Amino acid sequence: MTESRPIDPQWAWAEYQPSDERPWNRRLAAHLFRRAGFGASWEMLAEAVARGPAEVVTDLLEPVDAQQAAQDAFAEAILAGGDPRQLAAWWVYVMLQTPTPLLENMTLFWHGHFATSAEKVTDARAMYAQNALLREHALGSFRLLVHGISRDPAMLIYLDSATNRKAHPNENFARELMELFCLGEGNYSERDVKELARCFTGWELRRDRFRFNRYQHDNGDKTVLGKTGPFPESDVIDHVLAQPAAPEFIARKLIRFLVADEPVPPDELVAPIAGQLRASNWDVGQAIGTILRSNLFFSPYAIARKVRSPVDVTVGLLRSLEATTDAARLASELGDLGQGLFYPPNVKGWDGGRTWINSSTLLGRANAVGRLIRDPKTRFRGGDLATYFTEHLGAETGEQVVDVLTQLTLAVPVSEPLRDQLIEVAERPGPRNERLAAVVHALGTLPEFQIG
Amino acid sequence: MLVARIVATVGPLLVVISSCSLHAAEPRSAADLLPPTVVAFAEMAEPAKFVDLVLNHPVRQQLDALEGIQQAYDSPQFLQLKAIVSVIEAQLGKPWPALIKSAAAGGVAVAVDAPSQGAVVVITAEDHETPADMLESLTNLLRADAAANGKPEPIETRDYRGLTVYRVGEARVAVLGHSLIATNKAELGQRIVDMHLDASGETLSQSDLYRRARRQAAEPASVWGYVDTEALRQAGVAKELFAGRAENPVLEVLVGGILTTLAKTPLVTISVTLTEAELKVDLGAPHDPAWVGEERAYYYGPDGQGSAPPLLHVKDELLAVSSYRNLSEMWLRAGDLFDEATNDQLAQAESNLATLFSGKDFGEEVLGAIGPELQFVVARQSFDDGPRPAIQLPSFALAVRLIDAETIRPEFRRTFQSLIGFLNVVGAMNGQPQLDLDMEKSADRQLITATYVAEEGANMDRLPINFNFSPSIGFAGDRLIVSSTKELAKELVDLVAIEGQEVPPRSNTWIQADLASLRQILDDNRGQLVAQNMLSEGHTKEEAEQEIGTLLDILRAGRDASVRLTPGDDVLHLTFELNFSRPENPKTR
Amino acid sequence: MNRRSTRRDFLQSTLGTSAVISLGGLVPACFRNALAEDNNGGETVLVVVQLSGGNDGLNTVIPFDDPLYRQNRPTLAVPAPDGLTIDNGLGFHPAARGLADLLENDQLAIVQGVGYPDPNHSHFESMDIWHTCQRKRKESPRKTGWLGRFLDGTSTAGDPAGLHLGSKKQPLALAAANTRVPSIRSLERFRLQGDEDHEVRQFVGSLAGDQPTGADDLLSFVQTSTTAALSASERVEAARRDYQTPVTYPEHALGHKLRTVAQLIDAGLRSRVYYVELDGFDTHSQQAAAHAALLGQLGDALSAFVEDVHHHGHGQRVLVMAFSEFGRRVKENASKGTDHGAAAPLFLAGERVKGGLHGARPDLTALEEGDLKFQTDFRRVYATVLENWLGVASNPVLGSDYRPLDVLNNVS
Repeated sequence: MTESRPIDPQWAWAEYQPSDERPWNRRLAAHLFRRAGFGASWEMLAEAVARGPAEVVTDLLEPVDAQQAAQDAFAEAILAGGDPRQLAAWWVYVMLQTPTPLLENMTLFWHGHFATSAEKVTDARAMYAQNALLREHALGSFRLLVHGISRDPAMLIYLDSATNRKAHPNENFARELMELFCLGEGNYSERDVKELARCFTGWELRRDRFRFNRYQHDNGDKTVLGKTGPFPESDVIDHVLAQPAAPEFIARKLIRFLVADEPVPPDELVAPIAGQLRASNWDVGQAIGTILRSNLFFSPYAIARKVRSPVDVTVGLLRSLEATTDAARLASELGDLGQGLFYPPNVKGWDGGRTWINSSTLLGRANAVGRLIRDPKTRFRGGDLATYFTEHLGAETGEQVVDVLTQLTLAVPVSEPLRDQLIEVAERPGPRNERLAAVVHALGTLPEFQIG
Repeated sequence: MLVARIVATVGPLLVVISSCSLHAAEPRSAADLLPPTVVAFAEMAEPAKFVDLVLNHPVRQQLDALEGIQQAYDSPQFLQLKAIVSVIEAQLGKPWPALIKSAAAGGVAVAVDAPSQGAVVVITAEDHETPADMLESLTNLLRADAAANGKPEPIETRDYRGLTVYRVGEARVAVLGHSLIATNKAELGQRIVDMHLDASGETLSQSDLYRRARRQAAEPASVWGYVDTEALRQAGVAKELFAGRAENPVLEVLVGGILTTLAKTPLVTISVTLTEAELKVDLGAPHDPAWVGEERAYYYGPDGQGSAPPLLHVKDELLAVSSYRNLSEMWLRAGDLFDEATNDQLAQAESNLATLFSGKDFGEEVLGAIGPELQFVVARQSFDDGPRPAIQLPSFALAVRLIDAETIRPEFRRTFQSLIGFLNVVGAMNGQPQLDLDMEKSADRQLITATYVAEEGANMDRLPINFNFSPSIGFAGDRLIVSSTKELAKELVDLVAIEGQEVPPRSNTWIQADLASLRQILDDNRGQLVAQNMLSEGHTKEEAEQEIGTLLDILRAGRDASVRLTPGDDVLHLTFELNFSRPENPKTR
Repeated sequence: MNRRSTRRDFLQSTLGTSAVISLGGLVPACFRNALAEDNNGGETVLVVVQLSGGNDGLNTVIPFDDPLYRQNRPTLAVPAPDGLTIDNGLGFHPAARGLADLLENDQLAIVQGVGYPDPNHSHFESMDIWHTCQRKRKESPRKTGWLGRFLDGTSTAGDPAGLHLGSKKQPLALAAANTRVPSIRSLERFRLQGDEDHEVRQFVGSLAGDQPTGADDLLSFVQTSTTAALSASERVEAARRDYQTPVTYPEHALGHKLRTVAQLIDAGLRSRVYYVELDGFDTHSQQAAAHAALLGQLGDALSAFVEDVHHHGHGQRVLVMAFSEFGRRVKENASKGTDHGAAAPLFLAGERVKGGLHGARPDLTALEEGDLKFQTDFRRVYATVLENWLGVASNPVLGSDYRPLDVLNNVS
């Protein structure tokens, strides 16, 4: 998209059909999994290549109920300690083990969109309840999600909206609802903020639960975004969502999250996705499906066009090698790398893109990869690196190892000198586990590894 | 068998030579072979008996029955070890326990020598054929293995004064008399051989320090040893250990007195005794009360006569501690005991505590009101009736004797009330449950308790962690009880009013732990332990449950443990004891 | 002798040892940039020391000649002979030896009576006001700090714009719209770990030259950043390893942190702002010993730092600012301590300060509800730092115009 020639929206969102110029191969499958959900193992890639892009995307969108109960029980045990950092460790564990990575990835996306930080909220149970809400609607209805979030105790505490009185309407929540959650900057006026705040008077938290206090509710007429009326209960939220700016705002965010960090997509490109959101009554799953199946997504406009987040880098690497590890430690490392789960830096969540990259985070990533791969607690399908590479990847020689690794993790094509250097590292003398760890560590330090 | 022939020839000569000297005809123990420059020494006099004991120990049988342990036996590392052992057994023609019996019938000793900075191992047999045979078999084995793997010859042989010395890597091995000697420094080996062949010079067994250590170490012991701390101090080894200072207050309270002794004592002995019923480790160090300076007087009391009070025993007890520490004196002496940085921190802490104690000087007035005899207990809480927190913690309490109880009692009561009030105010700001104060008064007892109030509609089975606590204080006579729960406070208040506690032999500190209660507490929180294990090890739920289950089962092997610090007449003893459980009756649970 | 590892050194060491260089003499753009900008670009650095809890300024810069001082503080007043003279009947608390030394060397500016109108006595509120320059919380919901706003407008070529050294929550002053200021606990964060044989370092260094430039915007951005990161890591590690200083830093947290800052400055890191905290000034009771300890820590650490920075030749471009969210009440309370107050002195230390007292001395006879009245608005201090030291316009950052003070020498 750096060229001046505009992209044809029709072509962009039409379903990608494998062809000779752009065959459906391991490279594209890896790209799909990296963007949709952290990454895929070698086996998963082979399966995906056999099945075709449309089917794979359908599968990714499919909910799998089986794990939910076990996950909840596990979370309960963790919540007994009341520590949100433990909850972050729990989420990392779930990300590593989940059979539905797209669901987790989108939950993470919404967590950044509806940013709420445990720094302020401190009640781990409330943070968990919000997380469960996000997960429930992550691939479902955005409308239900916004309605749910507007009553979510953690969100209300974070936005200082635990009380909202008739005499002093709390403008914070009203502003964020329009600016950050639904419409984006410039699509509302200060007056709208004030009036919208009046609609939310009487919304409050009592004993950590949402309650509507009718004594504090301003029953008069309010004029919000061009419409006047009493706006009882949560009607005003639907009114905000009915603004034309709303689906565009969300569509643009989804495109940025899934397709490319930059440049900002032009309106014509965003319109079809926005239109779909509107027509489907805010079915986010459908929109994501369209994006993930599209020509644009599988084109050079998307491949290698995003900076990978810390979660992408660490959880992605572990998932592609079918690894489990010390989740608590990884959760804390993610915080150091700038993406502390449940601790977004501010209401805007994580900006992503180039802001992930600076001297200390780059070194942090390299160190994290090096540490993860050598941690004795990291087990690759239950065993060590050497066994995994030999038995499950069938990679014995340095060349085979490097080829498998680069296909699993890199979006950017491997240049010859790079490949040779990596092979050289793999073939130096020494115990096999150490050699393999050195190759992965070296890989993790490369600029190419940070692009996904 | 050149070696055998040499030894056979030289052996009698040695006997002749040595009998002409003042020394004993045949070395009776390793100490007879070693030079007096040894700074650390450890010996197992009867390895055969020890091996038998371990192999047939009831605890071992209990552990073997556990699935988790069985799995450990199947791990690749263990199987590798087993393979090596069976190869050795095959070569030497006997199972390994029998090998140990014959080769080490006279004992195994390990020592570290100062001038050469070398280590030496002495394995003594009943005759000199056995070690010679063993050495030859082992060398053949090594050579065969090297040849099979295409590696170069691993063993060099050399002759030293008629003895064949085998060199494998850094180790030099030879047979001397009935013993197999292995060392990593040639110089040390030569000195040992010289001393033996020439029958000249003092041996270790004749040195004063060795004799003193031998007398001091408890008998009978499975393993005993000692360290020449004076030599270590002069060599500058482990300076912090011998500096006599603990750099933080907690460490100081625990081991301050021991550090004083370590700084001056000439030696430290260790004896380890293993029987079917218990494992005992005793550390001893000569101790002179004159060494205890003013700043450490708080630890031992005036003239070192401070004695720990009796242990308090409560229901479902986990830990019982009794100790003699004059805390007020320690606080006031902080300037001498700690460095500037720590003193700054203590000053800050004092500033904060002063607020709590309504302006009273913490060190002098608050701590000064408490006598030096301290009793501390930790007990398991069972939440059978009433609110149950999601994580179940034990309760703990401290019992002290008040000096001038009448005056100080109301002060402490007021302080407690302010503390509860403060906790409530802060708690309300943070959404924590509130504490409800209650008071019970009878003839010579008072109990003031604060209980957390559960919110309406709260899940009574999974309450927040606060519900493990109901801070309380109790007064009984001149005793003060400070407890984390009101049940424990009540129990203790009744307890201390009763006479007739067991009077222990004079100790400075005594700690007793009940392992069955520990196991119970961990079991109460099994769910959390499993979840933590899953998170920190990356295990699946099944793997985590098995690991935690194995851990809990291993704990079954012990019944209780204790630690005691006893300043005897001139030796300071630190004794650890672990009592094993008796084998369970399969019918009971 | 301190060996400073420059980017040139780094490149030479890696290019020299790697086996595969496919470009011969051609140096690609990412390296050209790296070579062009030498480290130690000569830009000014601000080190902020936050004294958390409310420093008792009246017992720091003490009016010995004022009888009201002794009247109001029967037990806390420092005896006159103990004080370290400043002038005009003012003296330092005896524990603040380091501050007195700095003053003697003309390296300490004491701005008296710094505060703001309608003082707030809550720790959080007042600290937020100092951090964001926003009087009312509801004024603007998006909270950025004054330093964050400044950093948003600077570029530090891949190095972090600012650094917070501490393990607690990052101060609001550093919150920015677009810039992320890392909080680090130690220099470990800047080390490439697990790479004892320098295998990975050599590997990356040798490859960096191979990529075609300009082909991919995103990739080349990451490449430049990676080079910068590795270079920073080399410099920091060399500084850590080779850092030699005749100065003995005091052995407590603040001393360690300032030593780390000195090392980072010397390593050529381009960060403009370093932020550290010293906690514990909230002395409501038994103040004497605790406050003395803290002043000792502050004085010793600051004087060691200034001396060290001077020794390594960076004295002309480093400025330290030590402030607290409020002072304390003039009258002592019943627990031999003091409660929250208002105005307090603020300290600026460095080679280029105009040493001595600045601003009007607070008047003990004209108190405002028992507190000292402020004489200088803290935003004027910020304006001074922003315009005369960091070289940017202060209005966009502070939201309004504030006249800078004359406390710095030879400034632009």
